[in-house]
Amino acid sequence: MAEQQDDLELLLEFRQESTKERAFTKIMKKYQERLYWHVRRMVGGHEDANDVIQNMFIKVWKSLDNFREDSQLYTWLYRIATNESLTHIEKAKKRQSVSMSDDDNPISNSLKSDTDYDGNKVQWKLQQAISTLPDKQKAVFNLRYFDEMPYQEMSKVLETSEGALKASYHHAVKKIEEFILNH
Amino acid sequence: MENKNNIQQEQEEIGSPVFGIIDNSNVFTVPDGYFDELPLSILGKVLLQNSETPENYFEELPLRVLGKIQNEASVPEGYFETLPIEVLGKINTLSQEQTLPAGYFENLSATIMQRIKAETTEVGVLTEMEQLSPTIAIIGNKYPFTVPANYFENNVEAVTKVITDKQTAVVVKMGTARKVLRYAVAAVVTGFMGLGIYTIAFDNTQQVSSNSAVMAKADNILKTNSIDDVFNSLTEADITDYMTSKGSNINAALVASTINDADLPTAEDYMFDEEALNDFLKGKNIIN
Repeated sequence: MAEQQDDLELLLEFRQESTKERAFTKIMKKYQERLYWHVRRMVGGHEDANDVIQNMFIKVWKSLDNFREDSQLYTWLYRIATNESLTHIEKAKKRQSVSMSDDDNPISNSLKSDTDYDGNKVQWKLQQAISTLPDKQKAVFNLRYFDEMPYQEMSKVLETSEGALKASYHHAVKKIEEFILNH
Repeated sequence: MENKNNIQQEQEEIGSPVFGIIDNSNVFTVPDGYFDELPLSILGKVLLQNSETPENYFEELPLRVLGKIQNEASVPEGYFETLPIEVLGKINTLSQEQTLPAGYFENLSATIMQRIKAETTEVGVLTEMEQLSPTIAIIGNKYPFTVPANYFENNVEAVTKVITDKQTAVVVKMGTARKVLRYAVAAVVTGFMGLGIYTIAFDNTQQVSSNSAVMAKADNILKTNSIDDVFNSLTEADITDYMTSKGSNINAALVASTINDADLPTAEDYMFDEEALNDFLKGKNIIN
């Protein structure tokens, strides 16, 4: 509730020309880390995540004036970040389909090229497993398991019913478990 | 015995000698112990008959119940007159006996909110995962990625710079010649095919003065999808050299030699959307 109040004040600041940039900087500082990690888990590598998060915030700058408080700023930002990530992944797949090695998963490859990658560590194994999920299911799993987001909030971010999200999450868990046990 | 003899005599007088021969002893028998059990058996039947519903019992029942209720619901004389005093007395006694913990009312709302939250909060993610998949739960939900040092601090600056640059750029009216250049650079950054657009456009016009012809040519190549055919023979180095030789196009050449294919927008994204092109080039510091 306090967070929502803060956001309303930030939005008011943003709507005044004299405090616009300052308010935007505050919004970025407040949310960028959470959003970055959400995007990073979606797209895999830091460079990709960096591109997505920067483009996403530029879009937010352009459209924040039109933001109506029908939803929370927090869920709205997550929605944009998720959509940007999905678009980025789609583009990566298109590029992959015309390149020479189209049999690999671009996100999985991106993970493996990470400087910290250690295939023997179970945490990386988990990330590998997640990278095999369909993109939207990946978003569901990540939001729930890593961001610990309640289904009610997820429902607003992904514009999907809570029941469908729960079912998707359960399926994702089973697929990931199977991957981990078989690899 | 005398009575028995009288009866026999009477039979004989009636004139029935048969009865004179057959005596009147009892030929019937009863079960063993019959007479011993008979009193109990009769008593049982009497009790059973007594327990049966009396006549008009159900017709009279409501009246009887009402009567009982009225009798039981009656209150002692003067009860209601003294009731308020008694209740007040009890309340006073209670308030004297029950003291509240210090700060009770100050903390009450927080306590209630805490309980509401506890009751409405979903099961914790890790608890949920323990039930769904103990294997994944053991791994936990800490992720292994790292970010470069000071990334988040620098990211705010980077985005702010892009935004402020963009605001400035809106004010600056770009000349037609630079529009052509921008078009060409956009072609460059899409890769080899785009470079072809640039090259053929300038090869055919020689001068930047014929901007509309350049743009029409570029549009036509894109629409007819003939880029590959026209520029298959060109290498990136050739084009970079070509652009560098043009002097004012050095930025484009720089982009051509450093840009990562993975970053490129699609040709359709920028060729028909000037805003998308602007955004991209500004992001790469090609234009202000």
